[in-house]
Amino acid sequence: MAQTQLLAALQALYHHDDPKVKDEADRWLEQWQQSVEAWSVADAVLHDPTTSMEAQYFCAQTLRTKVQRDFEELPPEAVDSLRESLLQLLIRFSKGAPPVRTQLCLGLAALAVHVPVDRWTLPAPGSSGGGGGGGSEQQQQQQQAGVVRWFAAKFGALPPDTALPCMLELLTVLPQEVHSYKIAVRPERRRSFAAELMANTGAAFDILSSCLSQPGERTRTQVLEAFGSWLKLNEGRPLPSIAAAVAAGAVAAGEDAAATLARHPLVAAALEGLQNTGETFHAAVDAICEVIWTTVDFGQGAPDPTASPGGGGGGGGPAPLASAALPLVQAIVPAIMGLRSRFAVAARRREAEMGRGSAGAGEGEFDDDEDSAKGMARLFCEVGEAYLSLIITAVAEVRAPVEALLEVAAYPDFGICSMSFNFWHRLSRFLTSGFSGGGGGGPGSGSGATATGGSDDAAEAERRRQFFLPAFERLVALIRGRVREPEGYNSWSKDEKHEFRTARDEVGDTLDDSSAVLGFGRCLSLLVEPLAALGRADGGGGGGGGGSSYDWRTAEAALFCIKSIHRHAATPGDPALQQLLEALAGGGGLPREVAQLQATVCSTVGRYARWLERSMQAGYCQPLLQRLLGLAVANLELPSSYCQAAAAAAVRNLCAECGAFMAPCLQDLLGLYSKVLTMGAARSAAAAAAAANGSSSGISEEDVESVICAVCQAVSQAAPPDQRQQAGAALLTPVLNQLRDALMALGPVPPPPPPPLMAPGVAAPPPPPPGAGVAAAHPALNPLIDRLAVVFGHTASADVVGQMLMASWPVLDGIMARCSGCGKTTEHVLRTLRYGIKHAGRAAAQLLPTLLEVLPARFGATRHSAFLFIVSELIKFFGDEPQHDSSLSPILTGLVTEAGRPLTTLATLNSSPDMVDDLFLLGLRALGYAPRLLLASGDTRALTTLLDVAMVGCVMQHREANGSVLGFIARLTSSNTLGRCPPQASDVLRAHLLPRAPIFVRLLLSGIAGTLPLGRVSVVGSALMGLVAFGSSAAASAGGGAAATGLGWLTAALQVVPDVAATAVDKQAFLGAAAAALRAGPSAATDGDMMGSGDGGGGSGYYDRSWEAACQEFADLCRRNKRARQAAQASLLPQELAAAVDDGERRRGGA
Amino acid sequence: MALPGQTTPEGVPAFKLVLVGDGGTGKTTFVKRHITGEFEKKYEPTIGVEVRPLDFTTNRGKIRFYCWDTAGQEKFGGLRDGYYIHGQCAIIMFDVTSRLTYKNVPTWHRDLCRVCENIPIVLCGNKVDVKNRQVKPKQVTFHRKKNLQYYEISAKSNYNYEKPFLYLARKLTGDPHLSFVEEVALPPPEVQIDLAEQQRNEAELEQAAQQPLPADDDDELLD
Repeated sequence: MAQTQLLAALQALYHHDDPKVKDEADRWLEQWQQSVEAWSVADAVLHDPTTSMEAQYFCAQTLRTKVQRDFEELPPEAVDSLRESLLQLLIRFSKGAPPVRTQLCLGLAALAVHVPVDRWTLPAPGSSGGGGGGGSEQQQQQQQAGVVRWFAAKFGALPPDTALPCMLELLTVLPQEVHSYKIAVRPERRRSFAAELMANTGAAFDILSSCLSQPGERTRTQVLEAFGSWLKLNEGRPLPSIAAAVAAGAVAAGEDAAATLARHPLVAAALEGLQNTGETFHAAVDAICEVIWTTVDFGQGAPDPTASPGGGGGGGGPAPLASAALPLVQAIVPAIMGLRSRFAVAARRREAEMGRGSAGAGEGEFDDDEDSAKGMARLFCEVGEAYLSLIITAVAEVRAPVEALLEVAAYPDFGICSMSFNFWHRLSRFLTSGFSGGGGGGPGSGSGATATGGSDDAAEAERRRQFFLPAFERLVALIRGRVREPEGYNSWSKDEKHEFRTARDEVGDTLDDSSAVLGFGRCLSLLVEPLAALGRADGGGGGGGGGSSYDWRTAEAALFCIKSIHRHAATPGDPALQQLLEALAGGGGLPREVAQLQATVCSTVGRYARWLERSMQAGYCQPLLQRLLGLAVANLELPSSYCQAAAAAAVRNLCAECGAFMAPCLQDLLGLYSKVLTMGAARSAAAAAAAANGSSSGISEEDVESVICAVCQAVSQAAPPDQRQQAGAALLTPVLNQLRDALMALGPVPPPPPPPLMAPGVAAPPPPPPGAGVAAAHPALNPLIDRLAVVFGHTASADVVGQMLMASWPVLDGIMARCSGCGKTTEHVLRTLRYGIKHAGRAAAQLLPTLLEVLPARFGATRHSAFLFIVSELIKFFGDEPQHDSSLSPILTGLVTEAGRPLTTLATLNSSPDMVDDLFLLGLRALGYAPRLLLASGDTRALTTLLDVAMVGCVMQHREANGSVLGFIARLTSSNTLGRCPPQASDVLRAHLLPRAPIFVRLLLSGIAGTLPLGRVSVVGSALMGLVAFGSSAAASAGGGAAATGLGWLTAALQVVPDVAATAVDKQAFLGAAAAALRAGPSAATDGDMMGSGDGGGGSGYYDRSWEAACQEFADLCRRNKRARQAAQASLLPQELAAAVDDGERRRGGA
Repeated sequence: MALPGQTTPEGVPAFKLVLVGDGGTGKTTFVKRHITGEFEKKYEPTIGVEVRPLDFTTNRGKIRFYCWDTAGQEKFGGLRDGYYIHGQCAIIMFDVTSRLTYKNVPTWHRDLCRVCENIPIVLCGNKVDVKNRQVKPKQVTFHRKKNLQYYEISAKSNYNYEKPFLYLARKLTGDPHLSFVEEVALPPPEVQIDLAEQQRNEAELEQAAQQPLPADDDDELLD
């Protein structure tokens, strides 16, 4: 009966069309999995030969899941029979469906994690018959066998074709499951299992080695997979612990551990596997990659998995070889290099397949050859990245790996070619910054620089650079052609085009890396080559033309490459570069009509604007600027939006970088300014007329903004100081006039619609705010508002911006009033206002009284969270001037209380995370710039509002919002904050925080115990420690005997956590860690960090490693299974929060 | 609902796609982008699984993915890999602004491969529109493994939205020349990010990063 119901539910889950039915089945199955009868039903289904693989899989998965998470509920005496029955099932499925077998193995592995080593015993010597692998060694075991030998003994009695698949799969998954978070086990048991398993390595390697004699490719593949899995157990830490285990098992002592592994049959088998194809090859690749990483010493701890291997993380050099690993390295590297010829064949075949030149994005990634080529390339890359510490020594032996990586870079498919880029990037970095300080530039740029001091280091660095020069030159030659736009490009889909552009950028980055090593001049000459060759082929004719036969794609590609290395152009007046730019300014013989080419001309010019500025400072290139600007402006008129965008960007770059030299160009620029203001968003009105007389349709709004930005920068830098005010007004007036006209065009505020008829006694709802939907109906409005922001943002003088802001305020306020119903438009206005305030700084003071009066009212009308932003800007600029307190304090209080008013439940917070986030960012800024506004202004409403909202927000899921709340708590409790306030502040804080603190502590503890995602534990920990420390110091300063008030809160919170989640010993350990952290005090370096968001540390105050580790441990403990987590949560959270936090569970379980 | 290798009632080839990854990486938002076009700012963790059909039109006709959008966050709830059986392709999602979610990618990959051997898998780094990026492109090397492709995406800006599906469709049909014929009708992106600008002109990219237009430089609140 139960079985029938189960099968029906599975059928519904997997195959029913109706999502409701599916969902119901899903829910039923989940509850069934948690039931006690699931044990027996799953077992029965697995013994029933008529059931489907689907059902068998689900039942095996169910058994595994139950062993993983419900194990604590089993009586101890049930363990042996459970183990026996899982074992029998596994044997039954040894030749069955692989996914079912895998799940059963995972079940046994989970059991092994739970069950301590003393339960894995074998009969005393003599009683065991003998059979399969490793039988003879059993004789030496007394009683405890360890899991590996225990399983070996169990399978030893079976025929090999039954035993092998089971044993090999078990050996694969056992090490993989050590760190599985799914197994609900206490952290210390997990650690001791890892140690137990590590001690089993020798036994595992023996068994795996003995399996090598068994026939069949599948077996060999599995052996290699299992081998790789055991190597991974070390998590990329250096070899010794594994090798020591091997050595201890194999040899008596004395022999070098790494040398043992170097000669180990499994390593030999893996290397041999590289000669195979198919599955064995790929398993060998995986295993060898693991071997490689066991030979590198990353220092303490496992390498950060996101810092790609070989990077070594920190600023130092590459990670060195693990001690004594050299023999192993010498065994594997030549074998891997032996694949180069095979890789070359694959590359040639691929090239033939692709038929050179007839490109097409992302084709043919599919046949097995391609995957094999990828495997070989992966090996080359891993060798290169892992052994960078050897490679940078620049000795003859490292030539082969470097050559291999050049061959990867030469591979026709970009996906494989680009795999090598990481290596080149790191090599370049270590070559140019590896030695003694150094840091800047790159050796090539100023050749004299490295000779200073005449130190040996500099000489050695230069020798190394010279050694790698040829490789980087070849690299440049290999990849520079890849950026050439293929002939059929225009017919490609958007997707393909995009892929090509991304690939081009990656090539550009690698050219940039190459240039760092080669030096700018050398690299430039390589990149100019194709361009020069074109010039010669063209007959060097008389400019301008080029004709249709001109290979503009090659020219464009060359320019693209040249622009990619712009960072390295260090020498002012560099003649080669100057010559190139001169040529471009004069048209360079490049056809004008090819928009793509002209676009790249423009972006190249833009990228070298900084160099140009430095050259002009040094007295070079004076007339060039005007000509280049002229070229960019001329290209703005070409009928291609693509080219216009590049031209606008070039104008912007030139003005931004060379603004101080723009005086001769100002008239032209102002002419351009008034011309473009009628384009883009402002065009619609004039468009008909323009189109009628056949003039060009003008540039896009984005490009208009670029030009506005350019002209503002040029004018504010080049105009004489006494004329800046006037010049600013000249720039502002036309933009503001356009905006005012747009506002007028909206007409007066329409009368509110007649109130609906209401039942007697029911109040009519307030009329909706005016302007809803304005943004949609008037598409030009918001862009015109943004133009104003661009003017504010790119005018250099704060005083000028202050004037502009005053002049603009009536219009901006008019729009806010007219459009308060339109969230989008309000946002644009506020953003513009914010830019104005930001760039006016204290010059915005004259607007302050007005803002203080208007903002709270407008916020009340719109509840737009961006108002909070504005206030935070005001606090940033005026917070340190006490004379503004009397005006800032009311506005802060007004907005904070208004914003916090509806934020009373978790549901309301969750539905407006933006508001919560902005509210606490404002709070953070107030604490950062003017804590006295919150703590010593005489009005505590803002503080209490923030505390009350934080009381809920500290357990909300939204990452940013929650991070801001936690950051606020951490900063509020930091001694640094009170230190910057008048004395009465500490009384205020005590009065308001002390009564709430015990609850806060409980809530934060629940965050650690499971209410918040695991990734946030360290941030929660910081906030928690902040509170505890605050409590202790508050108690101490109050002179009370209870110096441990903070710890007292924590003790009280821990006391309510039931034993099922954490025992008294666990709690004591956590408290001990808290006490130790308290004694250690806040770490100075991190106290300034302001945000608690993000999951990578960054909380303020107590960023203490051991405290963080203690929080992590407590989190792991309470999250180890559902029962523990729910028990902890239920005990720590107030009822209404508990219900809301576990909304998911509730929805699932109940209605 | 179609079984593996089968077709929908209309004769459209259909494939089971399993979507996995840590909670909060944007799996549901990514899928919903296709179906309703909405970009959901609020975070509501998926419970158990939600199966949604995703249809694409290719130059070889229509194709359907039955996307099994699984719960990433619930450690103890849901059937987890109970949903994977018969999966024919998969997407593993992580969040480039959260290191931890990338750290967990190998686990998701292994769990998948234990049930579905040799299926094509796409690794997606989501949220590349966010400035505070913690996992840089050069740090992503996991896809060097066999049968794995990596794409950076942004569900918020539509960046590279189609790529994962196109790769999987090509692999599943064995046709490297398959392409999507009509632009998937996505609503306008929520944000115009730098990367979107790149489509227009990559020259803009660096500048845009250096000098943000009056866009959201919220992170300045850090100071």
